Amino acid sequence: MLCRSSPDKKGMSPAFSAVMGEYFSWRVIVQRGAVLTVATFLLIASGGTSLGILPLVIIVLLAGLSSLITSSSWFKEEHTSTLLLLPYSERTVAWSICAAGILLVVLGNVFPLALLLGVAGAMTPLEALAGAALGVIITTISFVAETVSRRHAGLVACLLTAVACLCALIFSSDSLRFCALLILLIIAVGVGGKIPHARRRHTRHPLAFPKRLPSNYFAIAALSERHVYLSALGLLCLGTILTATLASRGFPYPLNAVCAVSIPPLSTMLSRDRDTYRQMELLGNRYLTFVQYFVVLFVASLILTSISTIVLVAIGAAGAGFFAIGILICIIGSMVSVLLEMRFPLLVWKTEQEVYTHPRKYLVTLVAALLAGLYLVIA
Amino acid sequence: MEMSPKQEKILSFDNVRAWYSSDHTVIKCGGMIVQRNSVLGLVGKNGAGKTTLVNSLCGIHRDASFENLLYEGSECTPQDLQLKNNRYACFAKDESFRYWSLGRLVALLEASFSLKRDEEYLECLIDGFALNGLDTVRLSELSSGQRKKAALVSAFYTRRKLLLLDEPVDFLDFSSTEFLYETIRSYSASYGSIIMCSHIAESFTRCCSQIYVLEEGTITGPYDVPERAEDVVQILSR
Repeated sequence: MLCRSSPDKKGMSPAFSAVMGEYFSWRVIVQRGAVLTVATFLLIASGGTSLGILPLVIIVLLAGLSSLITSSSWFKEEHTSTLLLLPYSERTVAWSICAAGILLVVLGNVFPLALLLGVAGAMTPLEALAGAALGVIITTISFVAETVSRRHAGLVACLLTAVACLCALIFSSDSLRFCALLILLIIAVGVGGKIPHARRRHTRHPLAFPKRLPSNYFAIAALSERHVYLSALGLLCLGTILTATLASRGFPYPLNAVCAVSIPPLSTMLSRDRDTYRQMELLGNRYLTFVQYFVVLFVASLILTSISTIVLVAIGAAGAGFFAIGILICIIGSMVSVLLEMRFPLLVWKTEQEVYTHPRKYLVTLVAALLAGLYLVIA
Repeated sequence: MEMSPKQEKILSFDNVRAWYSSDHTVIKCGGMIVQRNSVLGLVGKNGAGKTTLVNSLCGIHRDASFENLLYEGSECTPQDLQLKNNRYACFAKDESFRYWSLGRLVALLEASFSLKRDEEYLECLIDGFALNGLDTVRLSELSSGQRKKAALVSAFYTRRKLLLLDEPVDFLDFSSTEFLYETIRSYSASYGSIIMCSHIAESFTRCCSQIYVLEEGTITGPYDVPERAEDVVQILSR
């Protein structure tokens, strides 16, 4: 056993690392997703459009209830018995993170369901968008909470989620206030993720060495680099403004999605981290690299595209079709980026700036732009 | 003095070539025979191509060719799965997975090599390299020496049949260096063979059973390891 005291050091909280991964398991997502899907269809069948925003409220409540039930049974499961090795205070934190984490994941399922409701006509488009926005925000927060190795950041993110749910539900009927709320929430999440945590005692024990596949390295790397935030924010604003401008001139071109998949710091993570690339080549687990990298690129671009599209729809500059083409562009663009990084990494450079400015990045932009052009032709 | 190779060899190759461009060939010829449970030293001046050879054997440097590359008697390439699954390397300069901790790196290696958790061995390595309490700290927050130790811990923990160590002594303090020598010897006895590049003559006299020399693009050897560290340099001038 690896049990002994050690000096104070920064790093992942044992409680956090203990519950991480478990509540994001496919089992939880599929089970809760199935329950919510059935509940949603039952609500549509029973009330339809006359229920208004009520289905969304019920789904959120159901999600909260299921998270409480799952997290309560957490300690009864044999495979989590190592949690009992934690001190009492750590156990409480672990339970809190577990409960909040399940809530986040389950609520993340609201995203496709809300769209479904919007398409099915059970909710007004704005209400469906409110649901979609909730999904995006919650997925973002889940993403941050999962990968940022700061216990308090995770808890703050959970609190913000609860506030986000409440506020989005209250204000979803007013587009202006809704947009303002979205921006405030994004800022709050950004600040919440950076809240400094108190020094804490670290204990070396088996949980310091997770016995399962560790979390996504690319996600941790992406969230640790300031360049990623700056570049993403810049391209988000640029894409949204340009798309809105083009749309106002009768040219509905989804440039926002093109910008979202063209974030240089994200699409050059292997090239800029040559030692990690070498190590991954040495290990030879290319499938794992591909999947992990693709997930990060896809989630990041999807979040940016969704935020941008929500704003565009709210101001009347885009239609629901932007969501569909946005998802397609995110999938294809992320795939092309990962393939380029794995097959043709830029390993000969002296400064990172050379990687950022390498013309290879325009290949992804070109593919995304062609897909966006396809939408323009169809539309 | 050249030695005749033993029958039981884990890896061997002839006429290795490695280049960076058509007019920049680093390694022109030569071969090696790695016997099971042995520690081979690779000596050479700066820029001789030692790291390039290690990278070529790891399949990372693709501009390389080997004749009769045999792993456990079967012909293979550096990218072959069988060799890949039984080989690991600790590089001279390594800042990989800097946003992870040693604990997470170990978990990745366990997943990649389907390793069974050996907590006693892991504990022993961490204690020996004085990394207690640093297993949850991000690698980017460690000092150069600690980072090197973490890389060595993960390398030895893989328990592969072939381990390549490029300048393993760099950045290490005295006690860790002693532990490294001890670990290299015990590793070769228990788990597998080691190829080690170093600029510290004592590394060869303390650990290696044979030495190869890489000079002017040619690999020669194997040679007996001299008893005194001062005599290692004479092998280079032969």
